[in-house]
Amino acid sequence: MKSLGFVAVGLLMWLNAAPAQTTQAEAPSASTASSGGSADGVLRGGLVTHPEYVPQTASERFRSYLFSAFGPGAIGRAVAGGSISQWDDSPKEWGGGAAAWGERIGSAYAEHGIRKTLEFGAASALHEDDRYFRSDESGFWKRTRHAIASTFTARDYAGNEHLSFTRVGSAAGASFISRIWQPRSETTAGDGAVNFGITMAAEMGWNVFKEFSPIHAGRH
Amino acid sequence: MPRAWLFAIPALVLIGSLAAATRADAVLWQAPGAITLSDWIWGPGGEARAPRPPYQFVDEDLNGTNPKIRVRDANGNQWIVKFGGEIHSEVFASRLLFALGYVTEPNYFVESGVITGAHDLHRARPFLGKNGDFSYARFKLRDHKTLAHAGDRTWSWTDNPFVGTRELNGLKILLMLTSNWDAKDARDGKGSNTSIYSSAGSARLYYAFDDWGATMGKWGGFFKRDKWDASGFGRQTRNFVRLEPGQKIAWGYRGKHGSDVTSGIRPADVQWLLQYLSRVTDQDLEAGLRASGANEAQIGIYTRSLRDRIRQLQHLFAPEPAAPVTGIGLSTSLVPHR
Repeated sequence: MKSLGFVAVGLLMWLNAAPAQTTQAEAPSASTASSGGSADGVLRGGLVTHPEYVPQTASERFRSYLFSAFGPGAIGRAVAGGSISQWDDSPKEWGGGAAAWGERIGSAYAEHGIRKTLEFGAASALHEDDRYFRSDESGFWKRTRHAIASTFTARDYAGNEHLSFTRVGSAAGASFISRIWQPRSETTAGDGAVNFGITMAAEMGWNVFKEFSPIHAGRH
Repeated sequence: MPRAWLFAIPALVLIGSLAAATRADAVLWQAPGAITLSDWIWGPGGEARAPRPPYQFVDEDLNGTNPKIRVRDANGNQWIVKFGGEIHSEVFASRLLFALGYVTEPNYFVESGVITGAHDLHRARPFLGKNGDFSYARFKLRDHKTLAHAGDRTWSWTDNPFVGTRELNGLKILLMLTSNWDAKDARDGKGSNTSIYSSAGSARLYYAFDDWGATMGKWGGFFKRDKWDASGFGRQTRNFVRLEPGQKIAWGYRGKHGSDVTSGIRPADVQWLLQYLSRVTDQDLEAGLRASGANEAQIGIYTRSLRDRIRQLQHLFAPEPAAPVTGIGLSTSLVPHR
């Protein structure tokens, strides 16, 4: 389990060290410069340099936060995370059985809620849009790379993609805050770091699922 | 007793006259003119009134939930330039409303352009480049000479001169047809999406529902609704309308003041609107959607879904859908803003 965390942290470092990738926001569209009207009623007076990006309103951001922090997806992820911890018998002090399973699910759900709350607050303050945007490229590896990279990136309100301090920071913050209710064997800084890595790895997996899942087609 | 009648009768006559005068001078709908494909492309303003560059910055409008700025174009016309998630919906809705005879203002989708002289921007800052270049905006004409807001006057779904009329009920159907869940009215104070306009040189007051940004997505409550979401719009289409036992029309629509929007609509109101709605061709819808900046995939989904919704309305009264009418414009006139 811990090795998974180290792999995730390593991947984060690799992605940040890699040269800037072509993103949706950077990919030039086929539109050309012209002026005045056109046969289709769309007016064009310059070069369109990026695909359309639609920012969220404040109420849309709040709704998105509530849904992602406490909605069915959050519950499903908590059940999955709690079940894996149960199978891994981690932390050992919580033992086995239904009560321990519930405790692990509750712990995962609380940590996720804290992470999303931190992310929502920081993203609002820093004007970051932390929705997941599907890749507009084709090809399995290109889309997978986009999904993995999106774990560490967000957009500003103009749609430009950049390294997201809120995504990474909120995952780190929630990982360390969750040490408060963990038993003694899981309370060191190293445990927090490993938990952070696991959280980012899980987020990558979730993004890959969203990239290819037909359920999420057309959604952010 | 006779003396009391002496005062009561003139008073009643006066009240009745005032009520009749108010109704006569209030306009919600006027028979649409000869609508052509060009009207679906250019909307109520036509090609002639389309914004013409260069665009000169006037100021930023901080009202509402989306970033907006005011600009003046080469013709001297002033425009409200809006960015964000409502631009396509509003442009398409203006074409639909215009084709069906409801009051609306000229709206255009501008894919790209340059606004000069912009400064001290707040919400709109991310949408303008260093040289004032922008992409994806809605330009709405502010033409106070032709159609001006009558002060801050608004109206509500339950209190207006048209309650119970086919025209008001037709407007409600259009709200549902486009999944406009943001049906706020005078009861919502400054957030009202209803307006009353006056026209220069006329005593008439034009009643309009003038916020169509929250359309063409999913209707519903806080966690469900959205805007300009072709997939969601398509998925909800099958629940648009059905006839329940007792000839009761059941609408799938949910939104703000949803019960006011869905209630009071009679079969005769649906049939009245269908006179005009049935004549709208797929080609018209596609042209209007394309002019609103929809991509080809969205055009396909929206056109099929709107056609399906219109057919559902037709099926309320006939087992077989009416034969499609193609290539025929509507032959009526009046539109105060053109």
